[in-house]
Formats: sequence, structure tokens, C-alpha cells
Amino acid sequence: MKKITYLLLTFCLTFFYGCDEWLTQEDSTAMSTVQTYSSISGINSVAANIYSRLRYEQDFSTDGDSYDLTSWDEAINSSAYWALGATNKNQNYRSYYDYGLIRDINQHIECLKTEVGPNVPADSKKYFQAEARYMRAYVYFTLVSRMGGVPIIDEVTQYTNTPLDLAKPRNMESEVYDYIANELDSVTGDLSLAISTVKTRATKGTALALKCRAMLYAGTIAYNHDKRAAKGLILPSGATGIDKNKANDYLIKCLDAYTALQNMGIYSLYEKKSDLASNYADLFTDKDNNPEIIFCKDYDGNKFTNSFTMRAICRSMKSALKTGAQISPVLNLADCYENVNSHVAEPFNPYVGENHIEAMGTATSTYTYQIFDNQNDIFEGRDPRLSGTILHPGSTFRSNALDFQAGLAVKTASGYTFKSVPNMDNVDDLTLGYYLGMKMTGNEGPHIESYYVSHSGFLLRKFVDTKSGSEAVGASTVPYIVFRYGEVLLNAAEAAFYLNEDGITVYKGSQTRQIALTNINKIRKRAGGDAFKITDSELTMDRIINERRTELAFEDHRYNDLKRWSIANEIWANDVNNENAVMYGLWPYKIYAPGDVSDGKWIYRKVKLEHRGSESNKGMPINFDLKMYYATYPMNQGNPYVEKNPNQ
Amino acid sequence: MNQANNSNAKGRKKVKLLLMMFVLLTSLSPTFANKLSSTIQGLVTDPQNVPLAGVTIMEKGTSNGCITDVNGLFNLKASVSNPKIVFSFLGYVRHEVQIAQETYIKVVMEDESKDLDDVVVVGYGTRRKGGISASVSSINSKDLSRSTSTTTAGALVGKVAGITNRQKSGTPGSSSNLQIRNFGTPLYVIDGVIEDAGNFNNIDINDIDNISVLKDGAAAIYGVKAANGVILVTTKTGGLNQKPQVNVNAYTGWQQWTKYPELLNAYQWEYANYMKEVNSGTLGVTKEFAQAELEKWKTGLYDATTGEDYRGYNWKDAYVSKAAPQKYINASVSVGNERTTAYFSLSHVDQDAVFKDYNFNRTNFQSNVSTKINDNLKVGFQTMARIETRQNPGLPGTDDYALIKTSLLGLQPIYRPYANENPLYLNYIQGNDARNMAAFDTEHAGTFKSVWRTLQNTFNLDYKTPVKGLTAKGLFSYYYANNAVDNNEQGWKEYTYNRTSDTYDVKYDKAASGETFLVRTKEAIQDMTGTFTLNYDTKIGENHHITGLAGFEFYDRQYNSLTIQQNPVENPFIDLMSTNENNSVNEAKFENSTASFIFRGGYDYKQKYILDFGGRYDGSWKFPKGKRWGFFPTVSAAWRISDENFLKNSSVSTWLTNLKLRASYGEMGDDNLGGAYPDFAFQSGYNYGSGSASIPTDPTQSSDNKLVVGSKLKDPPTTGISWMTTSITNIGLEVGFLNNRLSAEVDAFKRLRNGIPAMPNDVVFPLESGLLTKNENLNSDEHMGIDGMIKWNDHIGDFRYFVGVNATFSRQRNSKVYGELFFNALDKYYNSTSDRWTNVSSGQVWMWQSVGTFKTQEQIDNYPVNVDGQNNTTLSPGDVIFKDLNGDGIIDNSDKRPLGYASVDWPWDSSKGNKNPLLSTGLNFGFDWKGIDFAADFAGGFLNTFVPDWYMKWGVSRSSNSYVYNSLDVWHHEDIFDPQSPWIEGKFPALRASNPSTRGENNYYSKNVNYVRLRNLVLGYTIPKKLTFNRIQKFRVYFEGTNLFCWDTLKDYNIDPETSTVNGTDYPQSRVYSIGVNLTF
Repeated sequence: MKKITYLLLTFCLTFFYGCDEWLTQEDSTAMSTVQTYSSISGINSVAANIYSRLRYEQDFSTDGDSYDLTSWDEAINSSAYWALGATNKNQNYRSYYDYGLIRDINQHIECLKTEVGPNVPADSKKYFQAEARYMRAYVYFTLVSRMGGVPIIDEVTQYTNTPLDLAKPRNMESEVYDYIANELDSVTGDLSLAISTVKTRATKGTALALKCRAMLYAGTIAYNHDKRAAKGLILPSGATGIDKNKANDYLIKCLDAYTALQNMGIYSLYEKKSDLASNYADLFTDKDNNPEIIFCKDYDGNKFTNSFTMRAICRSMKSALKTGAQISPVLNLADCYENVNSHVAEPFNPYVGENHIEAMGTATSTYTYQIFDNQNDIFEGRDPRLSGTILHPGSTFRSNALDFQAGLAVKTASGYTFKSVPNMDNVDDLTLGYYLGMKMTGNEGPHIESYYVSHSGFLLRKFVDTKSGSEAVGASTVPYIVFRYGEVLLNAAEAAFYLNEDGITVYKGSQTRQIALTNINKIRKRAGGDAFKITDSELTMDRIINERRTELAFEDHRYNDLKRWSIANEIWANDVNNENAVMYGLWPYKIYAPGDVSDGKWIYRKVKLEHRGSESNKGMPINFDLKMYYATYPMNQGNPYVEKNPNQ
Repeated sequence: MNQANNSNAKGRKKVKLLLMMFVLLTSLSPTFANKLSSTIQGLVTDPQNVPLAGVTIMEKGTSNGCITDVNGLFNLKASVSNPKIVFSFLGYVRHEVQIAQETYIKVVMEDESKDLDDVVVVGYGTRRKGGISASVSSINSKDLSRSTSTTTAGALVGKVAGITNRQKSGTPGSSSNLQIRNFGTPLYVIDGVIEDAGNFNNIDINDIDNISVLKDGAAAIYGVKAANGVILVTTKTGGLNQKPQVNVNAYTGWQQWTKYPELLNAYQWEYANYMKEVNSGTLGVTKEFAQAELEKWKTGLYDATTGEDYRGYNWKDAYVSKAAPQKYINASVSVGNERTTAYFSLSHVDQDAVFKDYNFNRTNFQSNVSTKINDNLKVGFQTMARIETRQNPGLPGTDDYALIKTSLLGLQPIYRPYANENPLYLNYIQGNDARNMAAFDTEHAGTFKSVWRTLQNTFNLDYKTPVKGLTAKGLFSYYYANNAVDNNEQGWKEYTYNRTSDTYDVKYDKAASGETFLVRTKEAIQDMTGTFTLNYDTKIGENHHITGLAGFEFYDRQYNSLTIQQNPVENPFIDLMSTNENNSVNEAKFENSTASFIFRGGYDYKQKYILDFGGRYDGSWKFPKGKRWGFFPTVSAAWRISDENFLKNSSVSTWLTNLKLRASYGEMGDDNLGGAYPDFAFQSGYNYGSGSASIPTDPTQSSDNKLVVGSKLKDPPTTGISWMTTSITNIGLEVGFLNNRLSAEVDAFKRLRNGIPAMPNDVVFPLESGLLTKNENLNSDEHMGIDGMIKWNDHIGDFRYFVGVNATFSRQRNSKVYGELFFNALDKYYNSTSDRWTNVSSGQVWMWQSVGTFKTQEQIDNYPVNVDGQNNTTLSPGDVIFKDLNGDGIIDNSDKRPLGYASVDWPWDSSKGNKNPLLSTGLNFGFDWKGIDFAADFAGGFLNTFVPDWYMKWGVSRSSNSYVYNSLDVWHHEDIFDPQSPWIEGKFPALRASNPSTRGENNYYSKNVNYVRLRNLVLGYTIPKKLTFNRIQKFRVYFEGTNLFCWDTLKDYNIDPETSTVNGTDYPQSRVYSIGVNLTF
């Protein structure tokens, strides 16, 4: 008996002392900081998390990002009713304030200094430290380009009972740009430890490309100081707005970055194919030895996936019901592609004589149309980048001719009556889809109201994977290019152009205007051959603007460019009479006139696209008001020092 | 054909299984010797005059005894003349007979009723009912098993005071949302082992001996998990010296939905849509065309040669069964000799859904064996096992019922399931891709199958120490559960028939869309529970009763899951997972543990003055070292006034049998802080698996990209938070009249909960810090209410009957809500949450009050208040008039006021709100007479609110089917195509694209929900023994009806009052008609 009592007593005591151990569990989803930084793989894992959180507004990973492509004057959306009726953006658009990410990067930098285990080689450690600081600089660039000056926090904030101590006023916009430049300067050396073919993690080239872009942004804001002051975009504290006299300094830094990148000798324009349109399109889909890509987000179509091709692919090649043809490029963009020989970007005019704008739903017309034997004729002679960027009537994709046809134009005594299928579901239906034995609407549309079909008469070619099967869910392997050499050339050209205008005619022994001209012509030669090169007299600010619009279309530059040029509110004036702000399409019709010479030939109608705005306000113009130059600044209770952005 | 064969084979299998079960059970029954010579002979029966076998008969004061045989007969050779004989049998009241001269006696054993000597299970032990000072409700096996519910919660509803419930979904295998006094999810303890709700619900209800519900502070003996009350389940065991008794219970039933709002047919749908379009001025066709079309729909025109088809289709009739089968069988044997008792049971329930190929079935195994090793040591071993299978078509989404439910409403009645009526080709229904209900079977959609296999082994040890009154008990339990999910979501195609070319064009191809999935999930749960207690129970003298308990308990749960998924599926014909580039793998695991020290002491004087106190020192893994332990005390006392001499000796005692006053107070903890305190929030480090990138793993060496899974820095450790503390105060009164034929209990309670986590909003971190203020234990709330029951139990001759009523009312109120600031009184009125009923502060009950409807346009034109916010320009006769509460001449948000009870369903998110009704009630009555038995159980819910939305509110739409009540019974023009013709009155406003009467929550559409439903009705007949040639002890046949009738306040909508989705597409509860048989031999 006693034995049992003792046994139980012993058991009891053991239990009591064992309790704390018994109650200590392990978190199977987490690592300690020491574990994390003991190996390259742990550090990589933290870096991967941060890379995944860097904000690229239009990368391919989510549906929302492809919607962003259709927010401005490059395309409209045709995917679903909620996107069809999409209204305009407001000042909250691109409001971004991810200081949680900043804190995590600061902690990463801190840990890379103090916690790295002995198994990590010194060079790798140096690289990781530089990489982390590049990523922080990138976040600050994202912040400053959207919000203006923000507080620069570069140390790990610690949890405290007096959080007010952590509140900091906004730094000046220029200070943030200076900080970015300085940080990038101090890491380029260590970043060159990465081998030259690395394109998906920070490299010296990446840092220089970011610096080149950031300095151009800062330079432009300073250069346009007076214009911006007139729009009320300057805060006295300097939280927004940069002094005019700082412009040249930034622009020179932009050229410095360009020169350094140039001197690395590893980047050049992509020039692999003789067909210029295809060459341009391939630049974005060809990942192998592509000398133009400086930094991109790569997708493998298997484990790291995106469905951009599924969303953008033409209707006839879509993989599933509610996908495809979601991005309809607009005529406004197509109009900007110059004639290769004349160097003039004449808006498309499908009419004889004066240009007209028609309503999409109109069933008859008395206008006199130009009659084309082939759909392609109207696009003849244009900058090949037009066909490299968008698919238009007459285009082929994956060796298939695309069937763009809005409807039949039935010739009548006074003009034409237009016949089209009521719903794209019935496009092949022998009763609903046919008129007197003729198929009315092509499989690619355009169509006024069905979803997942072009609305504008155009579809996207840029970034759309040409591999068959890549239209399936997540199967596209096209990278999202963040920095490419072409952009750097244009950045440098623009900076040099301003310097010349500001009286600084020489940079490191070269004429600045010449730098601008040479760089632009490098791009134009690649785009349209020697005939497309411009002369010195043709080099104007408008030319630069148009060059960026066409060369960098759909690469998330247009919105930022118009902002820094301080013309966004003029181009995108909320005005139904403003032809820049209202979006148009170009609809091909096949003439039905048996016995007539025009039978089977083509006409085009220029139509006002109705897909932005509410039911009662179809075809609303794009609205960019003065509040939008700087996105809504978060007024947070915890920080009494923050200042609202201008006009808000 | 194939199917018929299958079901035959299934049937044969079942018969075989049954046979095996019988053989097994009967062979297990030991035979008992009974060789006493007879001096006293007799017959023992139950109140229904059915002989009872296995009744223990002892001569009082001796070890001399015997048991009754299968015919209820016994022979007892008494050692003295005129002995006192004691009859005892489990489930019946002990009976003593003083023998005078007789040599033959007939004894009727009374059913165990609410007797003061009833044993009630309380925390870590049992108590006689009379000696309890806490608020405990209990229910025995007889009352519980009167149900066709497949879940324990369903069988409990309406039968116990203090239980509130709401069954939101009637899908097979789903259970009622059971709560104690609306406190939240309770703690379930089955035979001393902590279990989850799934285990509680899936025990076979016929294996349960009794259930106790600890409703007050006495629950504190279960510590940090007991804040919402405790439900204790005790399963059946055999009795000592019990003759083997085999029980078989089997029924087969047919289920159909209780309520579902009537859907429009094709003609009605077209009619209502045209009406709406004319009213909104959006009729897209000419009036003549529309009228002609409508006429065709009315006649159901169909021409097979042209394909012109106006017949429409009733999807609900075609795809919702009105007699879905449900079958059940349970066979058990209980037996015991002088050392060993045993109970074995095997049962199987098989329930189909009203939808094709949806099935739930479960097999339960149970065995309870205990044996005395010697006079002091008893060991017991218990096994509970089950196989729980859910099988249904592999529809898209995690809830395989979701799509079929929404399709039922979503599919317009003008479409038909097959293209060109050809059953080989599923019709593609415009705007409804992958919605054709004809595809929702295993043949088209593939199969989802989830099988839970569980096994629990519990080892019990009961040692009577040499110290008088001191016993030691040990329990060790190991539970293992495994869930195997085989999900094979196949693809199907939908077609359109092209008459011209006589081809079927594929319009939707699920496989090609990449929407096929092959998923395997393996989940494993391992629970370990150990309890060791020392119990002291002694009497000092006759009157002083002292009890004590001390012990410790440990608990540990390990969870692992592994999911492998292939999408899209490589080969749809091979139902095996193989390596494929489309595979993804996901693993999860965690381990929880608690440890506790338990003590309790009790004293009572003649069961007249009762005092209990106890406590628990609990440690939880959720908190960091040094903050783990908490102490949760309880104290309760009772005074049995009826035992006082002044009552005992007065004439009152002739009718007042029992009067007891109770009071209790207890404190408990709650370590389930949800999202406010995630697991391991007290640790720093990096969370693996957050974000990923395709990058080179060492850029200094290589540029080859590889998928690198990201790790995210954890938030700074949270250390300033602890469990919520709860205290329950309870005052109760128990009365019994007329020898407890009429008994009643009433309890008033108040639960205070402190330390509800919230973010201190006066400690604000600047956004630039990247830090968020940590949650702290700041807020508090309280639940208050009363519960009670009355029961009358009597007989008139051999007509025995009972009536019982119970009710629980509990309402939640916020107490302190930290840091609320208001600008003025109005702001406080609208926005304050402090010191306010929770339903009011959570906002969803704020509605406009309807004060009638407009009858004429003139009335609208002259109406002084701007009702629609657009100067009444959008109103038409029939529209609802809202009260201008603040008299500012316009109806806006400030005219809303709280007009709902409980927490209203959140219109957009069914996970919010969805509380149980404030008042839950039950009414039970029954009788038996000459072998006929009858019982009815009503359950009611009061004070809840239903807020309809979508089509329940808007009426008809072209994009979906809709309901009759608000699409046809509406204000409309005399000629629906002529907007100038006079208005005809209807119940609901005229249909329009935008109806101002539906623009916000208002009490014209929202309804307060009150209901009483006949949950259960049983009518049985016990066949007299002579008809069964005395082979069978008891042979009863019965009819049982579940949810036969429901009275509720949702008549307008005809939806089940317990459902939750705002658009009425829930799977309601089923009405079940079943016939069954009970056999005892």
C-alpha cells in the first residue's frame, strides 16, 4: 500500500515539475531569427517575402493588376460587368503607405548585420545587405512617386508604450529622392557581386536603372516647378514639390546612372528578328539571353504562375469560358503610332473627308467611308510597334488570322445599315448570327456588350505568350519587366533634353542635345528602321512624350509620366469634348452589297467607347483632377506631424 | 440497371452485417446460474406490464439474492421468514417489499424519474440530485433517444432547460448550433474526456445513458475551457448481476424539406419580368411581341421539329427529392455478473440528402467493460469508435452543397436540362455556365468522399484505499481520429444544339477550363487525456456528510494534415494521385496542451444545508512561460427548506415535497482569444510560407531561378494579454409537489466576462512605425437571463402521462467598451457600443420603420416627407412609407432605429450575426396506456430577426429565378403592358429595376422570428408478449415524425425559421416520417 502511495506521490511531483515542458509547444510554421539567418536559404526566404511584397502595380499576378492596365488611355476593360462599367479613379488611386514592409526590411538589414551565421560566405552576406538596401530604396521610390515626401525611417522601430516618440514629420520630397540616390550609390559596388546574367534579384544594373528613373522623376518635378506651383502642387514644407534649381543636379545624376549602366557593357536593345513588329513583340516574351531586360519578375508557368495570357488572349484562343480578350486597347493609343516615313502621327480617319465619331449602338449611317480591299490597308505605313503592341483587324497571332468584324455594313440607298449578332454566344448561330447567309460578326468581335470580347476593335499583343497552352490558368511564362534598357535610353534622352533646354549643353564631353537625339534614334531605328530616325529639328518635347507613349505602352509609365510632366489633368480633363480623355475604338465592317463593286470590302467606323462610367453616363471621359497628382496622404492619429497632400 | 444491382448488393450486405452483429452480441452473453430453491416467487414488470429480465433481488441485510429470468420471474429462497426484499434495476427506482405471508408477489418497477435520489453526473463525479447545490440540467437516455436526429445536439433540442439552439442547415450530418444560455460554444466532456463538438454530435444517441449540463459557476471545475458551460455525457454500461439483455432499435424514414419559398414557373417568370420591365420603362421588345411570347409560355408551346420550346422546367421538382431515405439500426447488449459488467453496441445510420448522390452514413462501435479485480480495485476499459462517411458529387468549391443550393434559385425556369432533349448532352444555360443541375451527380461531377475514422480507448482505474471513504481514480484516454478526403472533381461539358447542322456545340468545358481537381487530404488528430483524482466521501455521524476531491489532469492534442492536389487533372479516368507538374502539397500541424490541478470540497448536513467549493489551477500552452497558470474558483450553496421541521411538520408537507434554494458563483477562463491573439504570438521570429518569388538562390553563383518560399517577420511579441475571465452568478429554486409528481426549477443567472481583447484606441502607433497597437484584455460583456422547467408526471390507473415545459432566456449586453468618444448625444445614440445590448450596438438591427404603404399616386404627390431621397419621384403606389423619425422631412440613415432582436443575420456575410434566439423553449408531453405510447416534443425559438436580401427582397430578375410571393403578389397595372391602366393592389411593392422600398433595411421586409415546431412525435405500440410467444421480452413498433409542423412568423416567405442565408437558398431542415421497431430479448 505504502509503495503505491509513494509511487503516486513521485508521479505527482514529476508531473508538477514537468508541467512547463508539457505546456511548451513548438510553432511548426515559424523559425527563430537565429535559425532564419543561419543559412543562405533562410535569408533567401526572407528576401523572397520582401520581393513578393514590392509593389508593381501592373504585374501579372492578379486580376486586379490587369484591370489597372485598362484604367487610363491605353485600353479599356472587357472582362465583366463590374469592369465594363468601371468608373474613374480618384485621389485614393495608388495611395500607398507600406511602412510595415519598410519595418520588415529594416529588420532584415539589421539582422544581416548582426545575426548572420558563419555558414554564409562573406561575399554573399555583402550582397544580401546591398540587396536589402536596394529593396528599401525601391519601396521609398514607390512611396515618393505616389505620395510625395514621406518620413524616412531607416532603423527598426521598436514596440513602445510611448508610440508618439516614433512619430516623424514628412521629409521633403527632394530628401527622399536624395536618400534613394545615396542609398543606391552606396550599394552598387556590392550588388556587382551578383553575376551578370541575374535578372530577378537586385544587381548593379537594377540599382542604376532605378536611380536613372528616380532621378529623372525628381528632375522633372523640379524642372516643372513653376507649372506645378500654378497647379497648387507645392507644399511650403517641401513635402511636395522640388526647387527648380535642383533640377539639373537630378538630371545629371540620371545621366550618371545611365552612363554607368552603359559602361557595364552587358545591356543592349533586343534586336533578334528582321520583322520589326515581331522583334518588338518578342522583346517582351523572349527570356533567353535577352540583353534588354535589366530586372524582371519571372514566372515559370508551373510553380510561380500568372494568368495574364489567359486573361488577355484573343477570344478565339481562350481556354475557358469567362476568360480572354479582357484588355481592349483603344484607338487613342493606336493613333499615336507615327508613319514610318513622314514621322507624323495622324489620327486614323476611316471617312472620306472630315473625321467623325459615331455611337456604338447606331444601326444606320449616311457617312461616306473609305473602302478598303483588305482590313490591313488602313494600318499600312505605321510604326511597326503598333502591330507589335496591339492586335488589330488583319493581324495574325500564333499563325492564325484573327477574325475581327463588328458586323455587316448592308449598303442601302442612303448609306449603310449595320447588322451584328445580339450576343457573342450566338456568333456562329445560323439564325441569330447570320444575315442572309452571311456571318455578321467575327469571332474576335468587336461587340458592344458581350464580355470577354474586344470592344474597341483591338486586342493586346504585348506580353501575351505565344506558346500554345500558355492561355491556361497560370501557364504563362512571360516575365513582368520592371527595368529594361530601352527605358533607360529614353530616360537619359529626356534628361539630356532638359539639360540642354536649361543651358547645360555639355555632359562629360558630349552635347546633351546630341545624347537625346542619339538615344531616341536608337529606339526608333530598332522600332522602324533607319527611315524612322528623326533629325535634330524633329526633336521636341512632344516627340519625347509620344516616343515614351508608344515605346513604353502598357509598361506602367504613362500614368507616372503624365503626372511628372504635370499635364495629366489637361490630357485627362474630365470633359466629354476632350478627345484625349474620351476613349475611341475602330470597328471594322464587311460591306454587304451583292452585285456592287464594294461587296466584301471593308469600312471602319470610329466609335466612342461606352465602357467607362455608369449606365446613365456611358463613355465618361477619363478624369484626373488636381487632387490626384499626389495620392491621398493617410492622416493617422498616431502621427500629429503629417501634412495633407496638395488640393486635398 | 447498374444502380438497381448496386442497391441490391448494398441491401444484402446490410442484412449480412446485421446477422453478424446478432451472432456476435448473443454469443458474448454469458449465462448465469440460478439455482435457488423457491420460497418466494414472483413476477417483476415495468409500468407497461412488460416483464423485466435481469432485475436484482436481494434479501435486505444479507448477501442472499437472485435475478429475474427472461420472463421476469424469480424464485428467492429467503433466509428468514418475513424478509424485506429489495428490487433494483438500472433505470428504475429501487423498490423494497416487506414480505408478510405471501409466497407469490407481483412487483411493478417504477421508471426512474426526477427523484431526489437520482444520480446526476457533475464535474469529476456524481451526486444525488438532492445533494446538488449548482445549476445542472440533466436528461436521460429515454428522453434523448426519442429523436431521428443523427446528431446528439439535434436530439437534445427543446428537452433541457438552459440549452439554446439553432439549426441553420439541414444537410445530412450537419448539426444544430448548440449553446448553453447563449454563452457560446460549450465544452464537451464524454465519460471524463474532453472532446470536440464533432465527437459529441456523432456518438450514437442510443449509447448515451445521460447528459448533464453544467450551466453555472460549477463549470469552473473544468477551468480555462469552461467559460461557456460544460456538457457532460455518460455512456451506457452494464449493471452488476444483470442477465444479458439485447436491445435492437431500427427505423427507416423518408425526408423532405420542411419549407422552401415557392419558385416561379416559366410563365410566371416571364410575366413578372415583363411587368417589371414595363414598370421601369425598359421593355426591350414591342408590347405585341411580348404579349405573343407570354401567350406561348402560358400554353407551353413545343414543336420538336423546329425546336420552338416554351415548356419551361421545374428544376426543384426534378432535382429535390420529396422522400430521401434515412435508415438506422442499433443493436446493443448489456450484461453483468458479480464482478464484471459490460455493454456492447453497434449501430449504423445512413442518410441521403434530398439531392441526388448526396449521402451521410456513420457506423458506431461502443464497448464499456469494467471488472473488479478484488474488493478494492476496479478496472474499466472503454472503446468508442466510428466511421463517418460523407459522400457527394464533387461540385466546385469547398462546400459541395453551395452550388446546388444557389443553382436551385439561380436557374431560370425557361431553360431545360438537356440540349435538344437529348440526355447525352447537358444543355448550356446562358449566363449560367456550370450551373446546370443535371450535371450535379457523381457521374458528371465526380465524387467527393470524406471518411472520419475515430478510435478512443479509455482505461479507468478505481481504487478503494484502506482509508475509509478515500478512493483513488485514474483515467487515461487515447483518441485517434483520421479523416481521409478523396475528392475527384471531374469535368463535364455543356452544349447548345445547332439545329441547322444537327450538331451539339460545346459551350462550356469544365476540364478545358482547368477546373478539374484531384484532392487527397489526410487529417489526423491524437488526443491524450489523463486524470488522477483522490476522492474522499464520508459521513460523520448520521448527519454530517463531507466530500473532497483533489487531483490533476493533463491533456494534449496533436493535429496533422496533409493535402495533395492536382489541378487540372492529368487523367480523369485514374482516380489515383501521381506525380504531376500540377500537383501542390500542403501540410499543417500543431500541438496543444493543458495541465490542471483540481480540488473540490463539500459539506452537507442531512442534505438540508449544502455547501460546495472547488477550484482549478489551469495551465495553457497558449501563453508564455510565467503567464500560463490561472486559478478558477467556484462556490455554491443550497438550502433544502422543505426538510426544515417547520415545514415537515406542517400540513404543507402533504403537498410540498421539495423546496430548495440554491446559489452559486464561479470564475472561469477562456483562452480562445481568436484573431486577437494568434497562436505563438508571444514568440518572435519568422513565419514560413508567406509570399514567394522565383529568384536565384545564390546570385553570386548562378542566375537560375527557383521558387523560393518566403518568410515574413512576425509581429513583435504580444505579451500583455491573458485569458478572458468569466464569472457566473446563479440563483436557483427547485420545487416539487405531490411527491414530486409536479416539479419545477428556475434559475436566474448573470455571466460577466472581462478582458475581451481589444485594441486600446488611445495608444496609437504612427503608421510610419510599421507597428500596430497590441490587443489587450480591455472590454467586457455580460449575459443575463433565466431558465427553468416544469414537469408533471402522473398516472390515472394504467394511463401514465407526463407534461414538461422548459425555457431559456438569455441576452447579451456590452459592458465596458474601451475608449469610446462621442461628439454629442446623437452621435452616442447611433454609435455607442458601451453599456448597450449587443444586438443594438452591432448595428444590423437598425432599420426604418414601415408605417404603411402608399395607395394612390395622389397620396404620394401630397406626401410631405421625402421617402425615397429623391423627392418621391421614384415612388409608385404600393411603396412602403417609412417613418420620419427625426422629423426632418427626409428619410435617411438617421431615421433608422433598432427594430430587431438578438443578432440579426448579416446580409452579406452569413458568418456574422447568426446568433441563437434570445428565448428558446421546449414542450414535451406523452403518455402510455396498455402498450400504446405517445410522446411529442416541441421546440420553440423567440426573439430573433431575419433580414432578407437579394431576390427575397427585390423580386424577379432576368438573371435568376425568383420567388412567387414578391414577384406575383405585387402592386401592378390592370393591364401589365399598359403603364397608364389603373393600379391593382398587391402585398409587395410594384416590381421595378430599382425599388425604393428595398433600398435599406426596414421592418417591412425584415421579420422578427418566432417559431414553435413539432420537432418530434412518436407513437408506439408494444406488442403483448403472448403474441411473440414469450420469445421476445419487448417488441415495440413505432411511428416517428420529425418537424411535422412549424408555426412561425415567416409565413410570407415560407422559409425555415432557423435558416440563415439572406436570399433563402439554405438547405432547410427536413421533415422525416419514419417507422421503426424496438426489440428487447
